[in-house]
Amino acid sequence: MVRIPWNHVLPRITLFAVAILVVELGVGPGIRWAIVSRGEQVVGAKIDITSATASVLGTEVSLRGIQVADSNDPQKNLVEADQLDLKFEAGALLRKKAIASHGILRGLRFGTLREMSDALAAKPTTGTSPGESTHNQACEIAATWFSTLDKQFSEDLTAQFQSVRVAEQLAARWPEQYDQIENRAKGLQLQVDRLQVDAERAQVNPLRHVEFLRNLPTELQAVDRSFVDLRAEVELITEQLGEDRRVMLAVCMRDETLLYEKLHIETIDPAILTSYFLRESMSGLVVDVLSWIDWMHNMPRQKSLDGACPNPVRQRGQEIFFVGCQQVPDLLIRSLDIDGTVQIGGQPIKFLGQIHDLTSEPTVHGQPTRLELVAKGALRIRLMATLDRTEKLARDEIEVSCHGFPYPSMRLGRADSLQLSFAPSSADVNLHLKVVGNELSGNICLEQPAVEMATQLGGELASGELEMAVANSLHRHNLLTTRITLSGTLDKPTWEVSSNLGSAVYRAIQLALDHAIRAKVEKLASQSAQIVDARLEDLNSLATGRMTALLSQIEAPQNKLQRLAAPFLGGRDLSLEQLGHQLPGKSILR
Amino acid sequence: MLQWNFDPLRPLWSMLKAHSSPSQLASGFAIGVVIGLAPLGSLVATILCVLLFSLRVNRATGCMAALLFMWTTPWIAPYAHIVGLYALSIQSLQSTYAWLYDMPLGPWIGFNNTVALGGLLIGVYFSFPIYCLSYTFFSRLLGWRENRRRRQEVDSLMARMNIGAEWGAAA
Repeated sequence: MVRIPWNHVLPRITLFAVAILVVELGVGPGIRWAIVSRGEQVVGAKIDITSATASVLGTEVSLRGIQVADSNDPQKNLVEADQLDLKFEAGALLRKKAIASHGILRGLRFGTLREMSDALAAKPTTGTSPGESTHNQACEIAATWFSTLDKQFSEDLTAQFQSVRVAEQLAARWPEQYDQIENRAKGLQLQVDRLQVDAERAQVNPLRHVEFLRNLPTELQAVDRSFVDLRAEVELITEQLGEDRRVMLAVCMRDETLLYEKLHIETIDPAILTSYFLRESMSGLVVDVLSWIDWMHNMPRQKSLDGACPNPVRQRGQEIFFVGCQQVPDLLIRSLDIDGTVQIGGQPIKFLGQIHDLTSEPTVHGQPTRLELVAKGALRIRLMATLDRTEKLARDEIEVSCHGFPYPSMRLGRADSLQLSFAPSSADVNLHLKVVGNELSGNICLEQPAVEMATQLGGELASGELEMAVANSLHRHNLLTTRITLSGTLDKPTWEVSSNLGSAVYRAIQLALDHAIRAKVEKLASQSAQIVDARLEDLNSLATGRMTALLSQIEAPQNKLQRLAAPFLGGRDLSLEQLGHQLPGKSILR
Repeated sequence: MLQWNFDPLRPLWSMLKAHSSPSQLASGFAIGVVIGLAPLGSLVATILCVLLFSLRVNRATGCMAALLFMWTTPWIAPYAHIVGLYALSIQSLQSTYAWLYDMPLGPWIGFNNTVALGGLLIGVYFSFPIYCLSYTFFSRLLGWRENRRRRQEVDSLMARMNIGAEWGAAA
C-alpha cells in the first residue's frame, strides 16, 4: 500500500487552491484597471466602470456601469452602458488571445449626464461651425436683397414723376403767357380808343390836325398789324396747347415705364435663399454628425496614425511571427449584441443591433468592423456602418435611413425681412457618409412630404395682401426636400445645403411682388394721372374758355378799329394812298 | 505581542534560509539569475519560480538574484535582442518555433520576442559559470563563517578557562 505523504502534499494543494482563488478574484479588478487605463489612452476621455467580474476557469468577463466621458463636455457621458458580458474562447486564451465569439452589450445610451464630472483633457472646441463664412455671405446677400425690396416699396416714387412736373410747369407757364397776351390786347384796345378819340377830334377841325390825319393811316395800319399778330399768336398758343397735351400724355406713358423699371425685382440665386433659410437650422445637425464621425474615425488614436498596431510602450524587442503560424489579433469580438436607447426629438427610441469583428488589431484580422442598428417602435431607423482599418488608409462608411423622423416646429429666416414658420412634421432622413483617410464625402437628405408653412413679412413688405400671396404660393409646395452635401477633410469640413425651399420662396415672392408692383404702379399712375388730368383740364379751360374770351376781347377793338378805319380806307386795306383818296374833296390834304 | 506578530513569518523565513549548503546557495542564485533575465510574467519565468520553490535549493538567494538581475535588463536588452534575433532567425528551427508557438500555452512562453528569448538564453548560458562562481564564493563565505564561529568558540572556551584559573588562583 502506497502511503500518501499528506504533510507534503496538503500544503501544496492548499497553496495551489489559494493561487487559483487569488487569480479568480484578482483577474476582475485587473481587467477593470487594464480597460480603464488603456481605454483612457485610446479614447482620450475618462472611463468609469462600476464593477468588473471575471473568471479564468469560466473564461468570461462581465462589466457593469460603463461610462465613457465626453472630452468636450465633462458634464456628459459620450457613451454609457449598463452591462457588457463577454465569453472568451478557452483555446484562444491558451494561445494568449482574447477572442469572444459572442458578447452582449446592454443599456447603451448616448449623451447622458455624468455623476462625476471629470475629464482627462478637454479638447478646445472651435466656436464656429464649418462653412460659417459662406453662410454669412449668403445671409448678407439675402438680407441686402430683402432690404432692396423693402426700399423699393418704401420709396416715394410720386416725386420722381416727370408727367406731374411737366404738368405743373405748364400750369404755371400758360397763365403767364395768357396774362401777357391779355395785357397786350388791353394795350391795343386802349390804343384803338385813343385813336378813335383823336380821329373824331381831327374830323371836327381837320386843319388843326393835319399832321395827325396824315399819320393816321400809318398808325391805323400798325395797330391793325398788331391785332393780326396777336390773333396769330393766340392761334399759335392754342395749337401749342394741343401739342403740350400730347407731350404730357407721352410723359405719362414714360412715367409708367419708369415705375416698372424702378420696381423691378432684382434676381437672386435661389441657392442663396436656401442657405439663408436653412443653413443655420441645419448647422446643429451637421455639427453633431461631424463630431460623431470625427470621434468614430479618430477614436483608436494610437492606431490611426499609420494604420498599424504599434508595440506597447513597455514592450521591448521585436515580435517575430513564424511562417505557418496563423495570425490572430490579441482582442477580437466576433459578434456583439447591442441594445439601448437614443434620444431623438426628446423621445427615447429603443434600438437593437450588432457589431461584428470588433478587434484591437484590424490589420491582423483583415476584416472591417461592421455595425448594424435597427430602432424598435414607430420610428424606423436603420444604421449600417463599416469601419475599415485593415489597410494603411482608414475607411469609414456610414448609412442611416430613418422614416417618420419627428421634425419639430421651427422658424426660419428673420422677422424683419421674411420668416417662415413650419408646423411639426415628420421627415424621411437618409444619410450616407464616407471617410477615406481624412477626406470626407457624403450627403444627408431630408424629405418632408407634408409640411405646413406660414409666412411673416417684415418692414414695408408687411402687408396682409403680400403675406397672403406669398403664403398661397408657398402652400402649393408642401414637399420640402433638403440635401446637405459634405466634403473637405475632417479637420476642415465644408458643407452645402440645397433645397427646393429657396426656389419655392423665390418664386412665391416674385409672384406676390409682381402682383403688388402692378397694383402699386396702377395706384401711383392713377395718382399722377389725376394730377395731370387736373392740369390738362386747366389747360383745356384755358384753351377753350379764356383763350376764346381773349379772342373775343381782341375781336371787339379790332372791329372798332376797322370801323374807325372804314371812312379812311373804304373797307379796303389800310394803305396810305387809299387813305388819302378817302379824304373829303375840299380837304387840303387831298 | 511582538512574538505573536512575527510567528506567521517564522516558517517563511525558515523556508527561505533552508538548504544553505554552498551548492544549494549557488543553485538558488543561478536559478534566480535566469528568472531575473527571463521575460517577466512569461510562462518560463513562472516555471522557473516553481522550480526555485520546489527544488532543494536556497530560495532567499534565488529571490535576491532574481530581483538584482531584473534591474539589469535595460542594460542587457540590446545584447539580448541581438542574441534573440539570431536564435529566432535560424531557418532550420522555424518549423519548430511555429509548432511550439501554435501549441496551447505556446505564446505564453513569450519566446517569439527577441529580447525575451535573448535574455533567457543569456541567463541559461551564464547560469553554469554563475553557479561555479557563486559556489566558490559561498564555499569561501561559509568556510570563513565556520572558521570565525570556531574561533569564537575557542576564544570563549579560553576565556572560560582563564576565568576558572583566576577563580582557582584566588581560591
